[in-house]
Amino acid sequence: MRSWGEFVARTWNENILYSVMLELTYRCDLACVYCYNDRSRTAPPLLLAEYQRLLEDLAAMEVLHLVLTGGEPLRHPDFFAIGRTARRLGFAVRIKSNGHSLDREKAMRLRDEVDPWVVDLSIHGACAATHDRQTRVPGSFSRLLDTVEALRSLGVRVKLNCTLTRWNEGEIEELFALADRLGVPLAVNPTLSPRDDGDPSPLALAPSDEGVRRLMHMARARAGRTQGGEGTVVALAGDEGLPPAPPAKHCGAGSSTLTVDPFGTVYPCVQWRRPLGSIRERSIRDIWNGSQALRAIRETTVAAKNSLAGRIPEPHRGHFCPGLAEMLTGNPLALYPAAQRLLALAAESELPTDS
Amino acid sequence: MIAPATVLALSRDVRFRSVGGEMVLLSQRRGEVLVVNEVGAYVVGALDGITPLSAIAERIAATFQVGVDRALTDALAFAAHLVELGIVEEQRS
Repeated sequence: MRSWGEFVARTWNENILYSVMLELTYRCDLACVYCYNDRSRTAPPLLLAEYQRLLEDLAAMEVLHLVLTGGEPLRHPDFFAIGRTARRLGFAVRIKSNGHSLDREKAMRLRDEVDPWVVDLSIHGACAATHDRQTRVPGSFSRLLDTVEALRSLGVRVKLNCTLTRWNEGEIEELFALADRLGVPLAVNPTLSPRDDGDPSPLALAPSDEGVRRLMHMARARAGRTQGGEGTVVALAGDEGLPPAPPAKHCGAGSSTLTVDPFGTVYPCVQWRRPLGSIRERSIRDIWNGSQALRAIRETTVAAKNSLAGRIPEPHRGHFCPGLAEMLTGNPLALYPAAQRLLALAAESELPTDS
Repeated sequence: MIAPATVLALSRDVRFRSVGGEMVLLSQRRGEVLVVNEVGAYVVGALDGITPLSAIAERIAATFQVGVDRALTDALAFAAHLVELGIVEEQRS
């Protein structure tokens, strides 16, 4: 038997498509200040029949992990029909939601019809004042806590995700205490992204150095507290984390993962918005096997690995994202300022202390 | 207790795919992931809720050209591991 980490490394090295993220819609019932979705895009969204064909293709390609996200995926009119198809075709379904519309009735439908492997919920602060300030929807914190309780009571696996910002960085300890009280793992991501149209305004909310230091301190203090990586506290750039067995590439973007936007455009990763083709023009299998742009992405991930070797210690390499580098600098190999800062702070957090 | 007459089937919450000669199995309920080789994938594929492990071992012996006793010993140990991880469940008649 092979370890999970070895398998993930194999998917990266051998270009085995393992995980696909479907951005079902950019509609959302919250209005988060730093949201990276480009809501100004207008194009005909994929139809249910197109999703069904896509899922059948992905199942035939032996893709196991399917992520349904948005915007808010539950705002898609055919969310449950897509979820039922995913279940019938044997995917392990992860849902990334803000939880705002997941009342108990919908939570039961989710469990019974979609049977997700895990539901990731976004949390923006440890109290209503902070959470609702970021979502710009009064009452959203209270609704989120109700959703966590409803899903947990129904036996659905829940994980909380938080993006660290200047507004919530003073609540890191309280956030983890809240997650512990709720009995769910929490991952905190210290990286904010520009909007997908290049608008850098979300970056204005980036956490301070002191906020990132406190997060890294928490990460060290809580290391090893939970099994199976579920207690991960500092989220790295890759959605799936990093395999423990170092592969030949910097990340799995375009090698084991793809992202499809609501209009059918395919990208190597949710963070790397270089279009690879449209499933309205070519099948996903054709894009996977024949896209020149995808070949270039794979070569770039190898180049990134080699370029960073010796400059960034292996455990910290996930703080660099080629997709973000490309968006911010035009060069997927350039060490952009936000990564430089995180790398410096990560290195500093490993220095021996007097205490 | 796993025995030659034991009949097993995949748990309903397990999701799996065959990838380049290996099989990845995820127990959604337990959060366990298992990656098995070609022989393991063959065994998992044969756990149909009807066939006892002894018959599966005979098929393994014929397919992979090993002795039946060795195949049965390995199949029993592997099946016990799968049960422990919640990947398969015993079918009781």
